[in-house]
Amino acid sequence: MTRQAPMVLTIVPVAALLAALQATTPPYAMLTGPIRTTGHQTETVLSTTFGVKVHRVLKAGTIAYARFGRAVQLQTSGVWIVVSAELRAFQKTMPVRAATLIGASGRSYRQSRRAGEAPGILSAKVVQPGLPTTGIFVFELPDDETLGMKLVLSEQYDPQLKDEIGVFLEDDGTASRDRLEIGKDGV
Amino acid sequence: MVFDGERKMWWLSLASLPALVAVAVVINAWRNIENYRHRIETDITQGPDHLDYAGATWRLENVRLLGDGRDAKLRLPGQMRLVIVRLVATATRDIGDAWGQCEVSLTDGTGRRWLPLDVSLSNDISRDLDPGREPVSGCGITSLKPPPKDHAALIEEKFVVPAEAVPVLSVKLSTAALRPKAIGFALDLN
Amino acid sequence: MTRKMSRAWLTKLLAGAGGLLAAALSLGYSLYEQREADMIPQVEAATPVEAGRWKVSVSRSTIDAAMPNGARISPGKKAVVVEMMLENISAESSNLYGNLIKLANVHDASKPQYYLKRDRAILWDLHPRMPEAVTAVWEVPATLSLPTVLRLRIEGAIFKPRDNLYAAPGWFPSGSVAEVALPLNVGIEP
Repeated sequence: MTRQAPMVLTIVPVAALLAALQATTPPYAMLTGPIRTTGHQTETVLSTTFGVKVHRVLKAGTIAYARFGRAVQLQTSGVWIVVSAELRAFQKTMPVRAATLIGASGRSYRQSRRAGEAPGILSAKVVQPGLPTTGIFVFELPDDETLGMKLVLSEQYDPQLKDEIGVFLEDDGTASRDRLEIGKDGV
Repeated sequence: MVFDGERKMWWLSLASLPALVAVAVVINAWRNIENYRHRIETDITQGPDHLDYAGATWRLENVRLLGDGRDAKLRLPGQMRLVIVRLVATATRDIGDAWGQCEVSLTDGTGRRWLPLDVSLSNDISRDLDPGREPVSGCGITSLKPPPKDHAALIEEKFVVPAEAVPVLSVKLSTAALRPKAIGFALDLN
Repeated sequence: MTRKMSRAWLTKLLAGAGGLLAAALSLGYSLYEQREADMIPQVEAATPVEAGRWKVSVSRSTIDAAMPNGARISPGKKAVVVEMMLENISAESSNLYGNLIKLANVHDASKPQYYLKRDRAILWDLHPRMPEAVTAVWEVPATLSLPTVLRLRIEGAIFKPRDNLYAAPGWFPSGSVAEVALPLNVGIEP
């Protein structure tokens, strides 16, 4: 017994240590996932490659804009949320194509492609370093998901080892308007 | 005696284990490292005049700065400026595919990079500035049909940059086969 | 036989029996799975069916001469149109409804194109907790004879929070969840 005691005394703690390491290893999806930076709507949230300052968050039942001279009006079974923001790039020319709203229940609502051709949609623009770009993101979601929303932006959806910015939007309880016109100069 | 030899072999194997693991990791990672090196531009030859690169001699032909009203009456809002860079490449040998994935960018001294405008927007701007003339192709399109030996090709790329970066801009060009080597020319805009 | 020889025989026998038992179990299980798969629950039209990410309730089907967004059908083809209410019951927006419904008794049916009735345009993403009236259109050769009652198979998926390869969350197909019988009407062009 005493001959095996030192061996057992080393094996058991080492096994415990290895088991603890294995249990606490972050999953692969997190290790190769986005590099997260979070902030509030009141501040400019900066990551290494880009930054965002959210200006206004508007809620409406219908949105309307003109596309190639034709008037487009879009209805939804929930509400439209239009977020106007300013984007900045710090290192190189980049698009910010991925915009998601995380609702009150934690569900993710990607920006609406139905309104993808409204004027000023930021995912269609390219941000140059040194030149902040303003525009809007348009989302549609159920009305009860619009409290405690978080806006998540990144260059592409499901970023892998790239920056992702999360901005907690304020609950200022703005009244929802019936109809929101999106003009060339924004909302 | 046999026991001693065996024990020595055992310790030798144990000691060589970290080295072997390191070698295995490096060999497996070698391809990834090579791929990464082929995407970045670290070895930049800055040229005053002519530079040899990818089977051709390159020179900076023309640079235009638009947006402040001095050139072409085009006025851009705020700090936005349009820089149009033209390069001429004279082929010194048969190029073939050597210009594949060629990238042109503007850099300032601090590491910021501006990539060129996409082809359709660039062509629209060319037609606005010079109606009636065929727009000059960028590097990507020219790399598909490079000039034959001893012939020259004109390449034009457009960039949108902030006015404060204009005095320190230089243009950088690289091709996939020769990256991380790249060539650069200072634009010397005032 | 000596005792040593009979022990060797016993070992071989046990090894062989173990292998045969494993093969028999595997065959039995796959036969059992095959049997289970043939029984697909039959569902009435206009009843909601939960299938993985989606809750779908098929209402009617027609043969139409034009796409729901007004576009023309490819020459030599006709359109089988199925109208339904579709809701995303997962936790994020998704456009992965392409494999949700299969036509069980129409051969050569290509992948359906989905349209949003509200906009009379192509359907993109559907967002969680927002059911929409949606039409799915299959283009089939005009000469194909279609049955009077269309049998639609609704394919399900299961969610695994940690899959076996990357320990990452994912949806995996799990076979047919329900089958709906819809009478196929010939559409009246509006």
